[in-house]
Amino acid sequence: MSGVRKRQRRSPLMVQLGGLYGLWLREVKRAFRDRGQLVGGVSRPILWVLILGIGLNPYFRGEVYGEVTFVVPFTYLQFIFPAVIALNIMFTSVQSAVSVIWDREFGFLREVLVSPLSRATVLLGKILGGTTVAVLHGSLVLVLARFADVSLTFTDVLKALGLMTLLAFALTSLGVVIANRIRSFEGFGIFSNAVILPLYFTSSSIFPLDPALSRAQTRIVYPDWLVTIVEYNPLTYAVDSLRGVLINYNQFAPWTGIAVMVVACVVLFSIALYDFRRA
Amino acid sequence: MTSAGRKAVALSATMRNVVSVGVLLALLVGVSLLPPDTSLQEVEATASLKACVPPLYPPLVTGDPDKPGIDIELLRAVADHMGVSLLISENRAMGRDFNPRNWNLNRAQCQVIAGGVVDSDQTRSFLETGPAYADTGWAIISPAPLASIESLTVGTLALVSGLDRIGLASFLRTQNATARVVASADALVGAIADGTLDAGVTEAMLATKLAAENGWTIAWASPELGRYNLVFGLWKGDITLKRAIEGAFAELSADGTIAATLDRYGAAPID
Repeated sequence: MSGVRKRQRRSPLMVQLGGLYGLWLREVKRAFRDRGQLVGGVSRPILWVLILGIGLNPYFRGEVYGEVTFVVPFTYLQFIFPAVIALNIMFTSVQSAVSVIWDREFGFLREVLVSPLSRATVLLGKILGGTTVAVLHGSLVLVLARFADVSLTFTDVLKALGLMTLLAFALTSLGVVIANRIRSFEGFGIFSNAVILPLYFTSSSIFPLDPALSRAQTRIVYPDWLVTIVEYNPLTYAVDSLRGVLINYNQFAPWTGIAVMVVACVVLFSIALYDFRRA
Repeated sequence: MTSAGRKAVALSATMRNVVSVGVLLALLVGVSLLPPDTSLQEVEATASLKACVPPLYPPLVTGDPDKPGIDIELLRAVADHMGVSLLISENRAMGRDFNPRNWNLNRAQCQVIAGGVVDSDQTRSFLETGPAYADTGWAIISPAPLASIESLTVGTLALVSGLDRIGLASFLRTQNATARVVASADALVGAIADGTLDAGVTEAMLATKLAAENGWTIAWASPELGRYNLVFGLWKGDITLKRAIEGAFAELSADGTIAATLDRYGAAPID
């Protein structure tokens, strides 16, 4: 009929992709409008790198040539730099999952769930949105590379972004798993901190397990229980991979971190999807 | 609200967000420009740059006031560029003992360690390293060209450099060479000249000088032993001083000072 535009029927795949894009964009826009989150994303690296890094730097260096307690060929600032990237990603990823509670509270989730979008698409859109924001917050730390005397090449940055994306995806999925189990904003805040901080502190992020030491020697230097926790903490391997790329220092086999993160992405997304389908 | 009004409100909100992100990014960039340590401040406060060197390591440190050595001249140029004076602290243990622990060098004695520091993993485990100014590695000198050192008697003069001594020992073993450790450049030259030694292995810069002075041949020992850059060592974490030295080196390299200094000491690359 002339003058009337025929509406083309979109294929189911295009509908899903369109929805995925919409949900991703909504998460990203919301994060940029949330000034509190932005301030957190900037203040964390400043506090951890500037204050903690500078404060502890002199205690981790040799004062007599050849005499150091640990043969970690980097300054403390360089050592914690990759860990602060992981910290920024952890906070942002897990906090971005609070939007699940927000959407459930204000009815947006109900509207989305009755749309033609599959639950997997809805969840993926939210997680990819959170991942994008977390990677951007992680990248903010890279601005301090000169301060920490970390030299970055374009390839290093690309590799780091790949690792950061894997880590952010796994942690945003973890945030959604937590959000699916906790119904209030307050409870989520407390619980997420109770997960993030222990994970971070036991990931060899702020103290090194010297690879020059044998396993037996490490267990003499540190209490057995602490070494065991560090070795069982998946984040240890993620931080180690970032260190490998950014300061060329690995405490474990370089491939371990990538393998652990890929497995974490698959497992945590599957659990989040299972919970999301039941919700 | 009219459509134009809504657009204006949306634009204003976007602008506020952009400004917020900009301010926070500017804060991060500002922080990244802060000095992370006090090493340069300390040099400027005392108006002096203190360097630890071995008493003798020709051509890097010669002990000759007129031609004090490549490292001394380069350090002097760096100090001049920074507007401070250079104080040299000679450490006898550096010339005697290959284990840096026994040198007992500490921050109170010097801010820079020079006189044969190579940019190796071992060095970087303990020190920051300044910019490279020459190439080094193990080199072989002999009165006549050698096809190999198999079954020969070879003098080894290791001195202070952080070159791989274990690798050199393995190389000499694989060549079935008889190794004789010598204590000084003079002893090495004397033993080669009187035929006690068939050849000598030492750090490349010193080897170049000895070969040139005696009209001998010179060659790299083995590609497997690796080649390293000669650098100055700084204490771990002394980033501001390292940046100042790198800045000075960049200008000294651009104005030809480094190349002229190396030329003056005949530190030509080994072909």
